Amino acid sequence: MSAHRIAIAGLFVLASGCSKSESTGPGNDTTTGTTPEPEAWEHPRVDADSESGAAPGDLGGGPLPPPSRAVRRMRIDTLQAAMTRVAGSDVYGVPIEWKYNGKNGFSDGAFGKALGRPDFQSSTDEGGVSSALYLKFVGDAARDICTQMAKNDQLRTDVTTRSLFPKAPVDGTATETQITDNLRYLVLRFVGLRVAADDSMIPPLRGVYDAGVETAAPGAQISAAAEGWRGVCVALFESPLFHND
Amino acid sequence: MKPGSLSRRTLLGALGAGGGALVLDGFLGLPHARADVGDPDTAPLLVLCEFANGWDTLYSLDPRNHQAFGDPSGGIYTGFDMVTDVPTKAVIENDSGGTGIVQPNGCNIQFGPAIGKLAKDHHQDLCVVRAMHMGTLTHEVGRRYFLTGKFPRGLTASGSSLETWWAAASGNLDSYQIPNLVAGGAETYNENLTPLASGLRVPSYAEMLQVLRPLNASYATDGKITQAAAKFHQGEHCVHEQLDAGGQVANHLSAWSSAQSLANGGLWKHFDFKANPPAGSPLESLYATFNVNPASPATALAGKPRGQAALAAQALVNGISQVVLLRLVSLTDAHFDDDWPSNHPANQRAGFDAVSELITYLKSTLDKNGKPFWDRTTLMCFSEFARTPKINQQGGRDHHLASACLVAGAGIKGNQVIGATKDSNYDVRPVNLDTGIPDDEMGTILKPSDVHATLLQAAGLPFDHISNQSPKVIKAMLKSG
Repeated sequence: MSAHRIAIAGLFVLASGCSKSESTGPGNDTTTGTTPEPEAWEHPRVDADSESGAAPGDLGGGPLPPPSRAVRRMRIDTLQAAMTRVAGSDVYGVPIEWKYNGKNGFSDGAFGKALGRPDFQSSTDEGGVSSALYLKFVGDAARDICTQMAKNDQLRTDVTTRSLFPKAPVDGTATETQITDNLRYLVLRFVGLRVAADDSMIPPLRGVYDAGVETAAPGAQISAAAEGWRGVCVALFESPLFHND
Repeated sequence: MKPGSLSRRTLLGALGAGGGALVLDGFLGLPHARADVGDPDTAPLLVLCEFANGWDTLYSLDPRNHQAFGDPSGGIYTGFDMVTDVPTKAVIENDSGGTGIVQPNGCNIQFGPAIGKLAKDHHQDLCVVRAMHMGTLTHEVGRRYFLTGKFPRGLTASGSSLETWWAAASGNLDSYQIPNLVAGGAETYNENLTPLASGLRVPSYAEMLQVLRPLNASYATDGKITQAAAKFHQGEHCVHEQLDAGGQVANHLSAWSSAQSLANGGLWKHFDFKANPPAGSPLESLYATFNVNPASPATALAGKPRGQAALAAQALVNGISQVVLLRLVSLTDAHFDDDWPSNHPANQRAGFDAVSELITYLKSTLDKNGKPFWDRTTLMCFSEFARTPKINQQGGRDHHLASACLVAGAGIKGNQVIGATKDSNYDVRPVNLDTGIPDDEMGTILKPSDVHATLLQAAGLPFDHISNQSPKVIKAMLKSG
């Protein structure tokens, strides 16, 4: 479980500020009340001895303690790792990453320094807040990665291996339930939250999906529905929930 | 995948903040320094030029006559006889008659041999503040002290940098696409001011092209998708509420809207310094002022102080930015003889020449009111500290507390020097704030916060953010007295 997902899960425990608990961290499903098995792509739980297995909470440790510091923006190294983790691999098994002029976009040879990664010569500090420059390049990275994810998913005949739309077909036959299920899956995949079908996040994300379907260019490399999922992908990558550490 | 276009206001509208920054600020819960009520056509502009790594002021702003201070065993040794940089050597040996002092006709300021064009063309506008006590010999501390006007907490900056405060305080944030532009690796700080005033940091004009348009246009998303995404981001989700205790979500959303506006506008064209611009175009005029060969502009601009100054010029005269902070020059940290006699004066000269060209351009370019942009621009050149008055055993100079800065522009009385360092050891001398003349008995030791307060007062802006530094307005610097 990555640090930012732990933080979000911990914050959920502190849900006293909200009138109702709509979203949960990984491990609980508000729709069924059960504890589902982790998705195949999820990071395996690691115990105190660094062995894969049960998490401390499952050993009777109780809920995770609240975070002891303020939430801050993730560092560039964390962002790079998180986006790569969420993006998964292409049909050849090669990790999908942001590419610019043949380099990883997050590398210092591309935009790493512009994003604020310290070089420990002229700079030693890394910003802890989102800036316009940071989010501009995050947007570039998201569009690049999401396009690759959509293109590769379209090539996958086994829908269960898809990373962007495993729950809904993109040939125009998807039902309302399938679209909602896929939105819930993407919220879990991108920001680590299990949300119910009637969660307040779902309608606006559905709006993003619909806008993508509506504005897809005829004859484009990816279908109208895939363009909708690409839009949702970009929106989730740009969401403040993705960037908090 | 049709590229869409969104204005900043459209996005603010999509965020439910159609009233602009004032409303958005309420949404963010962060203060403007003052209500957003300024007139962008009369707004005070600011250019800060950092000469990084500690400058040798004997070369520039606080020189000594080599004929009087040419003894290596003296308290101050100019070292001008050791200089190897050809243009600087020529000034010392020929133009100044061996003194190293540059003082054009009518100029009341004595400059060092690394300042030429600036003194000749603009001495009437320039005010040199000498004998400022920097209180530190550590690069990071001095740099951050001068940027914020507040002495750092350890190495950590305290407070907001001057240009951030200026942008927030003047009440024009919603009138500029990039209110606060920071280039060349300069540091910028925002402590408890609206994120709209935060500096947008870019390495140079080349990166502005990458910042101001999508890196890959074929991957752009339609404007309708962006508007729908804005509604998603703005939604009152429970987890947003939980995460936003420290303002992280609000700050993120503000920065996100700025990023969309930047990436989908046409601002990049102003920073596309292409070869052979059309006759009569603003770019041709820019090249002429900055002595750029139109056939190969990159030769003169890329990685050069002139390129940073041209970036500032375009941002200001095209109404993109109100304040610009440039790390104009990264000087050599001149402790050794392979730098101090050669690269250090050469880099200072390049920086001051670029400043001169920037002033010329702002004087010759008119705003919507038909007045030169320079009439409402304030400029300050600074470094984190100065260099020792004696040459060290390695043939260079080490760090020295008594520094200087160069100020010019709106409300500032030009062609004068404020303060002085001692002739015996280059130490600071107290100054009479009303006259600018040294007063060893009753005077005041100058600090960066005093200069900040004076510049802000000259521009009609408050300076209560540095009140805990007990800043004193240097009345002698003000045109109004």
